Amino acid sequence: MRLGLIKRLTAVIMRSNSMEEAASKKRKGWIIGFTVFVLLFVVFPVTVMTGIFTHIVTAQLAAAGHPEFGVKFMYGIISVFSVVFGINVIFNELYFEDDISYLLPLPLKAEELVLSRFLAVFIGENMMQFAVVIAVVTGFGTAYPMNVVRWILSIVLGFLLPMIPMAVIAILGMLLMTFTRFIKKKETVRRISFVIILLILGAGAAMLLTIDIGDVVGYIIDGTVRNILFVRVLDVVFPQTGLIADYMARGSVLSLLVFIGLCILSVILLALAAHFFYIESVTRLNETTHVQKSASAASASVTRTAGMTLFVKEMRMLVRTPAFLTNCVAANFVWPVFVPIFARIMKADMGQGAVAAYFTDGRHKTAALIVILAITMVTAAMNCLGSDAFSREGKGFDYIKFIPVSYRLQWNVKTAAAMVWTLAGTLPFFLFFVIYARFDVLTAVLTLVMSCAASFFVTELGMLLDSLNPKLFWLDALSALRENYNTVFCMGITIASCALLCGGMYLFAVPAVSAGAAALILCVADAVLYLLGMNAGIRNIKQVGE
Amino acid sequence: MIEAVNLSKSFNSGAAVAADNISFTCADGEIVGFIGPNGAGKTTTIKILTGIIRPDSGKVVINGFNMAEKPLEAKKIIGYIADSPDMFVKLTGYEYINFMADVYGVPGDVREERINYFAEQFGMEKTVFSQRMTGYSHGMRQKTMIIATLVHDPKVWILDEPMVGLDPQSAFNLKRMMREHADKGNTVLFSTHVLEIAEKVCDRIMIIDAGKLIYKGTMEALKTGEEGGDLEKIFLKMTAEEQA
Ligand SMILES: Nc1ncnc2c1ncn2[C@@H]1O[C@H](COP(=O)(O)OP(=O)(O)OP(=O)(O)O)[C@@H](O)[C@H]1O
Ligand SMILES: [Mg+2]
Repeated sequence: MRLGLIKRLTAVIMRSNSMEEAASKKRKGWIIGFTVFVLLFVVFPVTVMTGIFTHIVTAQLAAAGHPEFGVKFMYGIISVFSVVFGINVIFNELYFEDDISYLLPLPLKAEELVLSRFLAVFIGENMMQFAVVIAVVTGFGTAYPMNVVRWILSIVLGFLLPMIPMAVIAILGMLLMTFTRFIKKKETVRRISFVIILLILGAGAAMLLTIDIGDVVGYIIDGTVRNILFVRVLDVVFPQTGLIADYMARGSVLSLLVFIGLCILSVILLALAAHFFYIESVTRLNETTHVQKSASAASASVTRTAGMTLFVKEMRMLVRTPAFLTNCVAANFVWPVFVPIFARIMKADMGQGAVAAYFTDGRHKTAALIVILAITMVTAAMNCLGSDAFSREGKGFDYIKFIPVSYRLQWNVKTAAAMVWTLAGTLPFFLFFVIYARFDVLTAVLTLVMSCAASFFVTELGMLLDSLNPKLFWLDALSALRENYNTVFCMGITIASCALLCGGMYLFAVPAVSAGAAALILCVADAVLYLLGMNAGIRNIKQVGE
Repeated sequence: MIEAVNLSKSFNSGAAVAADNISFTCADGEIVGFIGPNGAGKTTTIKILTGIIRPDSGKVVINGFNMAEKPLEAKKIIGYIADSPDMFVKLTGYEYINFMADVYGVPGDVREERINYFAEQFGMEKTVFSQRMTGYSHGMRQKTMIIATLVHDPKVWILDEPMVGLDPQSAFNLKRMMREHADKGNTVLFSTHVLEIAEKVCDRIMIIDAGKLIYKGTMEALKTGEEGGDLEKIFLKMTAEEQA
């Protein structure tokens, strides 16, 4: 193996995955501004909260003789996220990025190829979670003293945290691709990886059901003593979190060495697996990508209006591109799963009578409205239907400009396509509260207006951001969404404005007033955003590529 | 008819000049070939003509409609084929052709008829159109793009390297279709690297190099007296002179 080559390959892969340089100075300014904004209002709060949480848990449990537990627990959770995101990303990186077909003919060893792609993913994922890891180490270190060496090593170990689970996923992935014959198309594998993600989420949710205590810190403290299922499972699945925590809390050199040994071993195993399995499985996959049939009607005589045909095309691209299907469409329908889970956690009586009675109280009703608003806005930002509306077009973007359809109509069609999916996923909540909890007509109507206005707000905001600097140079659809600043900025602004609105709503005790106020504010904001979109947004679109 | 008046376009705040004060007219009934070395500015000029990018200065008029003032009217007249056929590959051939037909408002029975005609010209089984374009070969995609572009029977054809990837029979048929289209009083402008194609089918050619039009006129005028009438030698000499 040529290590220098792996290093250079990794750098190339990371560059080709990242967003293109912003064209003009003006756009660069925007991007820097937004990055600062997101750092301040999203990354910073999450990090601080993680740190404080770790600090409290560690401080309380150190007295009971379990100083390692806070770190172990947090690292367990972080590892779950590594796995959930890792599956999709690693599968994609090893098997579905289109640049693989350019790399395969080069005189590279399989292990060089795999290790460099793995490293690119590892570093990319770490960028996102390293801030949280630092927060955990800091939270721990301020509650339970460590010397300088241990501080430094703790941070290094935190950086290595996702190494083992990601290597295991990569190895299992290669085995799966080599030894199972039922995967013939890349679409199939993508769906399977999506199902695995759902299963893991479901398992996590099921384990959360074992929680029967309201306050989380107390629950965790209690959990260490009673050794509950959730924590036991984390221990078994991610033994490395225990090793790191053991080193941090007790300075155990043995744990340190075992952990580093495991990391090295996992990389060696990965290289071996790559050596024996990768080329065979990846070439087999490439051979079969052409087999594809569609049962769509073989007729040319169905005519549609320009707007309708654009809408249909938009829908087809969303549903047929696996990365868009999972991230933009299916993502809208994940939320309903959490309703019964939260109900269980809160130990709520879910009989309709009890629910209806509970929500006769104005405060409770307002709380429900806040939940509806927050879910609508976060879902709309998360599905990035607005914020990747133009990025999604990729190399085909030019058609927007040469077809004889006004930019306004095209803009509206994109808005409509985004709203349809967002509302399809979020309106069930609204219906749940209206029907099941028997909201009065006025509140119901105002809530509906509020939901639609919120969904429009986020979509329009996203499109406006995406029109500034769409990410058009991608080979693989998933990279249109990944590391796309526009979606990150959109999420940041959405969370901030959602927090403001929800905070404001909480001040009103009369639900109809708070829903009405939120609806009014959102409608005004919508009008402003729409005007901006129709003018500045379309001006931006015309500028793309010039 | 295509009228380009003093078109200029530079990228990266003037660092790269892709089109430098380009003016020409493609009259009705004419096939015009656009040739030049890689990076000369052919694609950029064509994108300006089709409204994909706006020129820094100058104007484009298509059959009397100014692209800057009446973009929708101008675009409706044009059939444009991009230099890469990898668009919308998730759609089936039919879906893509129908999409374009809807966008340009072609009635159902008319499009059926035209698809049949073109499919025959290009030797394509119509069952292929029921499959997604991800499974098409490069040439099949190119043919599907051409059919989708021509299905609205545009008056002005603007084709960026349309012959790339076509088999000899299809390329021959496309050339014949261009001739027929021009003979009906329409305009065809296409770019190519293949001098023989330009020589055979074009009424006039334009040679572009480093963003400048260095020749426009008939093939005959170009050939008389120079280099024994060998287009390749003339082309190489002209572009070399321009570099110097
Ligand atoms: N979006 C862009 N940004 C920056 N420079 C560009 C852009 N598009 C084109 N250029 C530059 O403009 C010049 C002309 O490019 P163009 O694509 O028009 O050439 P071409 O004649 O079509 O070449 P080819 O024969 O290779 O297709 C090149 O120098 C190119 O680098
Ligand atoms: Mg070109």
